[in-house]
Amino acid sequence: MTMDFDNIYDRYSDRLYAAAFNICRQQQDAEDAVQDAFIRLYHSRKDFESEEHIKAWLLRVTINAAKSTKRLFWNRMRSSYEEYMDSLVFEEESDKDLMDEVLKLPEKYRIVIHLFYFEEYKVKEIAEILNTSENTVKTRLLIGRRILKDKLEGWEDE
Amino acid sequence: MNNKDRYQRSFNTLHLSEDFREKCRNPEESGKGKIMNFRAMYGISKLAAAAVLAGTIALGSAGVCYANDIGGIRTRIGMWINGEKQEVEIQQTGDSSYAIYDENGEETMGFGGVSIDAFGNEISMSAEELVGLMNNECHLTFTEDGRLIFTYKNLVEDVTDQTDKKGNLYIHVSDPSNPNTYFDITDIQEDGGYSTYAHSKPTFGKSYYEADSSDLATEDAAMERGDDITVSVQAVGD
Repeated sequence: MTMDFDNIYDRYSDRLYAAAFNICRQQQDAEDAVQDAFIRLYHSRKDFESEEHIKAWLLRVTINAAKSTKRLFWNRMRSSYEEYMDSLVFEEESDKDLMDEVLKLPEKYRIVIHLFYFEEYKVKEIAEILNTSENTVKTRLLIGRRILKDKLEGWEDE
Repeated sequence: MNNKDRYQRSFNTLHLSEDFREKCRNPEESGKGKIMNFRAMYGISKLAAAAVLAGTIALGSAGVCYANDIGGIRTRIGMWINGEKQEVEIQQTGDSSYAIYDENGEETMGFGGVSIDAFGNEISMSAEELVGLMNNECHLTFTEDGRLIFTYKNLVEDVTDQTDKKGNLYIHVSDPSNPNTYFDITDIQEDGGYSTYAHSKPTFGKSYYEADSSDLATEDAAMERGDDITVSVQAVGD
């Protein structure tokens, strides 16, 4: 398919940033991960089947880039998490609590939770993006939800 | 409102910053010259860094001493430590990590880093590249009586009274040899930890303390590039 880069960028840059921030919990690192993904897309000669295929590919590349950044023990925390969170304008105070609690989850749970609730992917699709088994995704989703239910007021049983 | 709606409303708050959004829009431009060294990341292990900053370790500039059980190449490099230029010996300890040794052959400090190319691949950085970066960084020292001492190359200044309401420091240094001299120092901890971020421009809305740069050393371009280093090869095994 022919790719309209600007259109893809406008549609997905913030979504990729949300996924990267979910992993990095740090603005600059998350932005760098997004940039890495778009530079890769730009140079990619991959034949994408559909826009949905591009989105899933971008998410996978962004998540991997964000994980690599975080994995580096020498990576420096370049701005305060608290300061950044304070700068965000949430519609409700409970929205901030939700983000705080999600970001406190271990990484393996929170990225699965994010892809499920934010990107609305199914278990099978999440497994493909994260290159893991469906059972692993199910388990992580279950544990992640349990933790959130314990921590968050009004988080529904599913 | 169900869990999914709540989650989406919360995370829809996250957006790329406007500056970054425009910079990143054109990958040909933003990637230009960045096929290698797209972004450099480096750091010093916290404990070791604290020890160095506290000035408790004398890094030797004397003769070359080697520990018998360590193989590899040692490089002698000039480095700014506590406002003084010192020559230290560095040996690679991993793909992208290095150790600094004192004159007795004891490891005193560790650091490491990689660059990331335009395709997201990690590229090991040499000791010279990393020290070059570290020489352009600022450091914060905590004195026993609770003072905060800012150090950048040979510039040493008490900045205790310059913290903002949140206890963060925003300091600018006039150094024409370094493009990133607006330093944000945040998360300053009682145990000596802190985070720094160097920018080429001031962070919006922050007021920067202007450090006295009148006597700042500017002759160190060669040192920061790692020129004139001596490389010694140590025999490994028999």
